[in-house]
Amino acid sequence: MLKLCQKISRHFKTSSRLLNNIEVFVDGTPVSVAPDYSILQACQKAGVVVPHFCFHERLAVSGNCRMCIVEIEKMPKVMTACSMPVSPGMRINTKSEKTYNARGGVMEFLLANHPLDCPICDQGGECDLQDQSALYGYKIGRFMEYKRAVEDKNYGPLVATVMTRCIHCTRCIRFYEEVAGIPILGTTGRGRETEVGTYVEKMVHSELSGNLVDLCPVGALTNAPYAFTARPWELRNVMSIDPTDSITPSIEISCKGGEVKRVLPRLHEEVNEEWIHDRSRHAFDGLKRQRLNACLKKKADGSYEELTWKDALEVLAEEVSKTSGNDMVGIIGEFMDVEAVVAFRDLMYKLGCENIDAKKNGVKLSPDFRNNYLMNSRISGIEEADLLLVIGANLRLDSPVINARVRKATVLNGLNVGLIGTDDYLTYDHTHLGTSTSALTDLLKGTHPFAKTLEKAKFPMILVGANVLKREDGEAVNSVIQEIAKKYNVIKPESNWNGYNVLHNEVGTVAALEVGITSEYDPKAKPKFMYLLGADNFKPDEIPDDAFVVYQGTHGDEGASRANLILPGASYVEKSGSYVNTDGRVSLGKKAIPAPGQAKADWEILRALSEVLGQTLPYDNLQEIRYRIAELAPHLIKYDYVEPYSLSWHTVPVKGEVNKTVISDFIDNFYMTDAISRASPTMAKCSEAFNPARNTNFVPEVPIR
Amino acid sequence: MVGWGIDSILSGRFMKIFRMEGFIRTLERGRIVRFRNITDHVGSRGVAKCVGQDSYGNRYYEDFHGDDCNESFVCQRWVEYADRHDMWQTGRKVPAEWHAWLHRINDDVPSPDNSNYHHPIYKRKHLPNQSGLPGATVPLGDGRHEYAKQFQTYIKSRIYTSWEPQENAPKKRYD
Repeated sequence: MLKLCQKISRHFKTSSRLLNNIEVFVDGTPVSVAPDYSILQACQKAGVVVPHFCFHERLAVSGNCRMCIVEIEKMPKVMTACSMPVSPGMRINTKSEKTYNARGGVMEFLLANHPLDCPICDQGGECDLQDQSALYGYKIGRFMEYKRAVEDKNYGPLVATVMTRCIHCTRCIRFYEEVAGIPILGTTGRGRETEVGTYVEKMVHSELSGNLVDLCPVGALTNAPYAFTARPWELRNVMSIDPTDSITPSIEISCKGGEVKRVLPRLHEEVNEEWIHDRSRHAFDGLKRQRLNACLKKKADGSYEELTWKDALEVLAEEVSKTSGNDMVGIIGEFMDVEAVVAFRDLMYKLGCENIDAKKNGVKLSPDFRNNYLMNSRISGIEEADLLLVIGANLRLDSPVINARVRKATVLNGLNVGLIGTDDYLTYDHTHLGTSTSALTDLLKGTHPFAKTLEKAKFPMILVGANVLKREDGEAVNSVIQEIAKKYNVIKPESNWNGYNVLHNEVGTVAALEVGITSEYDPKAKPKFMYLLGADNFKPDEIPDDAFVVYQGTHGDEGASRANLILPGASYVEKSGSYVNTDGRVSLGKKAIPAPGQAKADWEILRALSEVLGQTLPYDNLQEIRYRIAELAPHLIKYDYVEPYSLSWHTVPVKGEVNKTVISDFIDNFYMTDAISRASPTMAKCSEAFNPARNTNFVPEVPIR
Repeated sequence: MVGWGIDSILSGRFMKIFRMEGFIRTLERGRIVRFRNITDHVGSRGVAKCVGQDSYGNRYYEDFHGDDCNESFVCQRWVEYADRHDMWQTGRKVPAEWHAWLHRINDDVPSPDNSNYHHPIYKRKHLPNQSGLPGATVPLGDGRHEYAKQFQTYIKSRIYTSWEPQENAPKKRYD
């Protein structure tokens, strides 16, 4: 029996994995690479460019474009570099005549059916096929047959399709299947009749669908709102970040003249990899509509009077001098940069106002320690964790980019995902623990079936959505979550792991918490003067009817329609500012275009107001206010960096009574969550197409050119 | 001051340089001996050949056969600026092709009679270094940069529609 076992076990043995680097020769130069490298990666390491279309670093290898073929010595035929692993002593020849001829042949076949419409193609100038055909293509075409034509598909209002240009690299198919998690695209037919599309005609719907345009190496999928507006060489590109997403993904703002033409993602491995969601990418055209471009004062009859800056600040100063500091209240908006928050804090403290962020729906968190309110295991920690418990966040709507990373972790690392809150198709398998807070108390008692899994996890991660903390019993729920974290050993300082994470949905809140401002709402207080610093998502019953309301912001939205005095501010593409994301990472937004009309950067307005009030703030330019920020919090001027902090200290939240109500999903329409996206015509089209039931209060307007 | 002693004049080197460079320059060679580092070797080394002259009047010398060529730091190619009698000699007027020759980017002497060196007709005239002058290059973020001036024009070209307050206030979304 034993012998039999030994015999059988021999069959199950596999050869041990090669861990040492192996040496290959690329064009004669030796390169030491890991044994799981493909030839293409080895060539990249050697600094040799291998042309390719279908290969993409973040997608599975398909090897169907055949462009990356290279000659390998002692092999009878040329091989595709992307799908062939290296072996020791392999001699790769990328510059031989055989390779060139083979590439030329492949290019000839690709161009056989590719239309010659580069002059009218939006991809022209940044097209992979255009570039590579200039290098590897033959001078003349030898095919006299007609080119094929394919019917265009409907991919929604964001992606324009010209499917005749498609070269069947299948990047879009693999993106939807692997990253977006919606296996809806595929190929039909064979050979000349191959078509990429949905099998049954339906609209493709994903929050990350804009990334298809970046992936497509040719002009088959192009940016629909950007269509025929600019050429890449006319654009002025500004490397900035996007504060409308709470993870502040790195973006590239392309401008032509004084207008933003498009927004593209930039590479940042620890934040957004190379994806951004559709609201970040397409909501910028809201910056052209409903803008506040002059100071406005509401008259008694409800009409508005236009004021100059001097008059407006004097009116405001007069109103401030009437009220004492105790009757004042401020609300910090969602896209506020650190500079504006600090200037606001300094000014309001000078006026004697203590309650700076009086939001009813503010997060109930303590700013004492950074691990009270940040995503402590970082966004990249999702890939290290083996269990993720999401509480009260629909990740697919709250942060689609994080959702893509969670999906990647579930596929690659086998991440176990549990969800408390409203259930949805999150693009990966997950366990739904319950919809209400009773699931949390069950977990704390240990009676919930998921408790055993949580106990076994080595690096568990709890992700608390900001919507939970915005509840009226937010602090009590937070205390339960902290107790769960303590019971199941989620915080492990000895192995440098803190699994308690908060997923904010407003960068302004994080900036406020970083400088020690917490939101305190007193329902009994009747403030006489309210300063809304770009706040639009407030609850209307927070503002008493007789209060004098000042709104400083970009768009005519809820805040402006309630305000008595309106001061025009600059939006995130019109001012330089630093933003803190939910990770605690400070990143720098750059000015791309000038602000409209009289609008000014927010901290400049507050600085000017302080001078009129006779309480001059001691900074005159951006550098000086950043020194002031460094006085308050030195880590806020270290850009693109997360300052390390103690993992074990945290403020214990006050225990209270937890309402056993449903943890509801606050985002009812992903495409319209803030003032900018509510004013955006593209987002209006999207919510009409993808979310018709929830498309609310958008007044359509003829777009201007 | 003058470095030409009787012996060195009699040695014949004086006359060689005199024939090539003229009397004044020969005197300068001698005078430079004591004070200038670069040409210090020249006096001791022998006769350096002037390989060419650019449009500004700078003269370029080359000497591979100096006495102490291989021993210490020696300048094998050097320039004698046309403005060498000014208070500050500057390198701002060395044209690009001579710069390349001086710094051994290129070995071909870019003089007009050198057929190896290509002088295309469409080549622009050399623009001297503009540092400290109005035409100086400024970084992208500088207010004097072309982009910053353009940016001012963008303010006018900014297209947007301003807010039109509605008489009927929008519905409260949180009710």
